[in-house]
Amino acid sequence: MFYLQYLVLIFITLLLESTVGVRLTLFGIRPDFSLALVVFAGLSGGGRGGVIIGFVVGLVRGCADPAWFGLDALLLSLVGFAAGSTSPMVNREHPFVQAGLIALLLLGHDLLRILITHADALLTGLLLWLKISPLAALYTGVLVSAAVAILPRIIMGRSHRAVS
Amino acid sequence: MARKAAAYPGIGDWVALAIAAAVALFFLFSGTDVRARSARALKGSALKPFHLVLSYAATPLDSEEEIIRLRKELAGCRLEEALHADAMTENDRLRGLLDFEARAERTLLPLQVVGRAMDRFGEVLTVSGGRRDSLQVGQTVLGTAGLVGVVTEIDERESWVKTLRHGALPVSGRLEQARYVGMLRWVPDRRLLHLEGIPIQCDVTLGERVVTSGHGRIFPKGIPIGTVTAIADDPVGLVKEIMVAPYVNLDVAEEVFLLVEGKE
Repeated sequence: MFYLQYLVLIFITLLLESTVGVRLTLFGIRPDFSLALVVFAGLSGGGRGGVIIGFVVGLVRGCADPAWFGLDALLLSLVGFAAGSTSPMVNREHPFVQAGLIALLLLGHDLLRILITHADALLTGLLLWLKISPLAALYTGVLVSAAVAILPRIIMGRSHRAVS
Repeated sequence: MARKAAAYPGIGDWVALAIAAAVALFFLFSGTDVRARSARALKGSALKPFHLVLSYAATPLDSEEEIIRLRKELAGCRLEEALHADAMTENDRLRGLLDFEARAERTLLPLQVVGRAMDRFGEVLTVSGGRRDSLQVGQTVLGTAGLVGVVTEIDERESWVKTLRHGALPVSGRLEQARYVGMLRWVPDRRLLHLEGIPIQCDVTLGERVVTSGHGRIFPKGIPIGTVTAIADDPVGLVKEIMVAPYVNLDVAEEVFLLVEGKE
């Protein structure tokens, strides 16, 4: 059931990323919904769930740039594993914890990616990371955890009023 | 969705990670051809539903407005072509007299944008057309207004284009009026290209066109890239800080053109 739910969520996330995500660009940075989804998969499904969802999302993302095909699958599997391993140690329902974890894992994901893809020009790569990743981490963390915390309440609130 | 998570990473978690990492590393360290073929095979089979979703992108352009704009541009181009034809004949005659090397003829092959990588560090487009359409790595890709990027990977039916918005694609650009040459690099947070290495004494003006210099032989000379939108002196006072807005809006690019050198 967990994997079926997350397969549907991957569809929705990719759709959001290719439509709404483009319009949510802030200072040239788009929120990384799919990485956030992998973090949530790790938090709710443990290490194995996070790894499998991360691997699938990574493969899908990797197909768009075969020059580094496999890298996204590797890095997002690690993100899912890290989120799953952290899950028992934190209050995973708390929006601040979710935001912090998404931000932290996005920073780590980007740093590893830069170290691999920019191995021949490390300084340029690290400068790029400093310029892009902290903002992307903060933006994705805040936006996604806020949406996850607020949207269900709005939807449930409206349906409750409609019933009463 | 809430499933009981293990207290610590269990053996199952480690095994899952090891398998995922092994498969990912296999792809990563296999040859370019294997990677491209694997990506295409996965896209066309198990991951097809995902890519149908991923390739969907709403276009904000109003089609009627777009047609009118394109018609205007076409009319302008036809007029320009007529004016150039005479000059080109004269130019060819003079080049012949001076024994210059004949210019290669260029044709444009239309390609459909069928996907884009959502990577923060660089934008890569997937385009229809591959080895069977005689595409080659290193060929230049244009939009209706100017340079888009370069073909970096090829499969039988699809190719991948590293765009101007890729941090690892420095482009050698020339200020059309001032004639100085510098390197253009994408600055993601400003959504502009930074023209590096232009000396402080360069007399550059806002709105000046930047074209490819032809240096490095990656891109042919004279392809429009963008216009200068900001000029400042760097803190050391040696070079100018020049920002260039690309002509091509890659957010809405649906069709691009492959520049083919030689006869059609």
